[in-house]
Amino acid sequence: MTNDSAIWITGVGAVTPLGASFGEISEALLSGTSAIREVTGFDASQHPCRIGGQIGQVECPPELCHDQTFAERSPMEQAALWSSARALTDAGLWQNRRSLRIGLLLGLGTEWMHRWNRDWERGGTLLHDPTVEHVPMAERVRDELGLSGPAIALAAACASGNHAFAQALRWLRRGWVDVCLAGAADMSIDGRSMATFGNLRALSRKNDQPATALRPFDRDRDGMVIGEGGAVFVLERAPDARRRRARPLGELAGVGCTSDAHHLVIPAAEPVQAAEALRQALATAQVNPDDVDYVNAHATGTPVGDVCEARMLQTVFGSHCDRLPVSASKSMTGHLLGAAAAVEALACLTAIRYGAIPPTLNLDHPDPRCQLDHVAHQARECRVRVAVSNSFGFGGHNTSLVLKQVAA
Amino acid sequence: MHQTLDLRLLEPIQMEVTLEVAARGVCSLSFEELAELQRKLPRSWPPALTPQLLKHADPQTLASLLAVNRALTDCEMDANQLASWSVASAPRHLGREAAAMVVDRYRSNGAWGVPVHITPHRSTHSVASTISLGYGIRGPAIGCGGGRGAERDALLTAACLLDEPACEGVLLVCSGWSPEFAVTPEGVPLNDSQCQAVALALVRTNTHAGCGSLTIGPPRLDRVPASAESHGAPSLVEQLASWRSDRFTWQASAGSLAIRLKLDSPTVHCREGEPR
Repeated sequence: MTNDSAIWITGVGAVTPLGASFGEISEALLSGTSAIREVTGFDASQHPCRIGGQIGQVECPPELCHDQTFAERSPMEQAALWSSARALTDAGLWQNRRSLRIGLLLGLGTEWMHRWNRDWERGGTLLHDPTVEHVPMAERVRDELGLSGPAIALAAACASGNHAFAQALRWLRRGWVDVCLAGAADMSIDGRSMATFGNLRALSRKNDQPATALRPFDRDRDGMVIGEGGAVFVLERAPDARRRRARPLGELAGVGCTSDAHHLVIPAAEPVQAAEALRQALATAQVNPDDVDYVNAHATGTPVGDVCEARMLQTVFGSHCDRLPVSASKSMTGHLLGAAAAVEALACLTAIRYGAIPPTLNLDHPDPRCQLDHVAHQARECRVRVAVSNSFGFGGHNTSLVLKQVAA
Repeated sequence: MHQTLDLRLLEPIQMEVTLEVAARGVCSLSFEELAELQRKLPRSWPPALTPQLLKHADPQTLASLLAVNRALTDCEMDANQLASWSVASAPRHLGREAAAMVVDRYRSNGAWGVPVHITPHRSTHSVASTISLGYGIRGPAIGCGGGRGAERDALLTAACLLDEPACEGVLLVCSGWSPEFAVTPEGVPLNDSQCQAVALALVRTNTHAGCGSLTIGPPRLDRVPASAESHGAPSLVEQLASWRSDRFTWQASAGSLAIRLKLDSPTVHCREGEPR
């Protein structure tokens, strides 16, 4: 059966601590590889948390090999450019990009802080004297790629990427663009960001055991570990993709977004609005809770957040929760903050494509308050037709994404 | 193997959307007025907007809250009935002075000198989150852009948020400093400036009972004025803050889309005792 209003994902580009292609990242996710290491690049010796999922250098994508300025761009912009260019090539649209209305939606929660910090570190005055105005990153990425559609940046903390997907759905369904690039990037492993989150006591202090520090749903979890990177997806209306015989990686079937209106940092103890976001996403996707085969949990490894999410899943899925596989890929990548939702959508596509669910590492002693069908330590073979990815953020942002397998 | 895309096969589905501006609120505050506002929050503000919550709020957040309050007053909207609304905010260079203070403290005191409130209060999403919290808004609350042209990002976002049947309306809030000011390494401003904010209450119905309209769609033949596009040009907020004539029209392009905002009557509603 064909669905003419469906939106397909036909390309993906990503750079993460686990690799810089869909295949490489999927292999690392399914083999249960941890990318958490001691951070380098700045002196973190006095920081409460000294570990992270770092990338190192983002390479210039082959599509932009003419760009002599790539090395001078900020790491966040490099990640966005890499992911966007690679996604277009993966979809087979790189050569045609100038003749289509291609929109760009990037979740960039911390663009300006990054820009000011980087400029300051290099002796610049942008932070103190703003007379020289900079072009926003989304516009620069669009111009560098030669796209003609609208390009905007969205920020909803760690849920930014899912808002980009939600808006991309609307742009495509409204006919505002022919193709849409949607995703997110974040590169927050720097001194100030690590200090802020560390002082908030949001970060793990298990500095002596980097690979086992991030422990989503585990009894002994003590906070998150920051990761960095980005992921961008090519989205098209299914009839257009079918006509050009594009290969669908999955269907972006629904997104649900709500706000707690409770606290600027702490999630609501009663996850009513988080549950509402998930229900909205399922309803939009026309999926019954019992039809969901996999949940990629937000699960940052914080004491409060994981319990709230487990309760939310139990509420929405009811008895189906007993046999609904749940895992947290953050245990391998770290928490990519503004880019987390995008990279976790990729983890869902991995499960759909390879018929196996990435595991939650370090889940040695599941917290009894988080009773779920955990996929712990090792990947689990399982046909995944419908996957859900939850992403929540500071400020009470709740988002859920539903991805479907596209029937051959 | 992918086939080359045949453009003739793409359906030219181009849809224009027009939304109603049910109400608007504008404010322009000096440093002194901001300090006074933070010291003594208006009694008309919702109880959730406590001094404790706003102690570390960015000045643009305070100005945005004031603009929202004025917009709600403008259309006599019950501030307790906004649960099904959404927020799209476009701050411009939010938290720059706080970031200057943070780099200075990090340099002199190390990691432990960095305050914890910088992320919740000075990120691009912070204004939207605070409005959502203050007014009990349970729909999405999204920060847009963050720099030049952020209002375009917010207008596109607001139109998309109203695509959701459950969304009754969107509070669209744009803010920034006029002019941008230089700061010392400690984050102290070196020149005078006004913190400006504009709030528009956007609704789906087009009854022409409101004070304006927002139209987004394919470009028309009429040209987009250069004033909305070029570097250094006044932002939408700056233009609205200084609007004195009968009608206001603002146009901008966003890639292949054109945005047009029209407003009638520059009257601004202020409660007694509030700064204008």
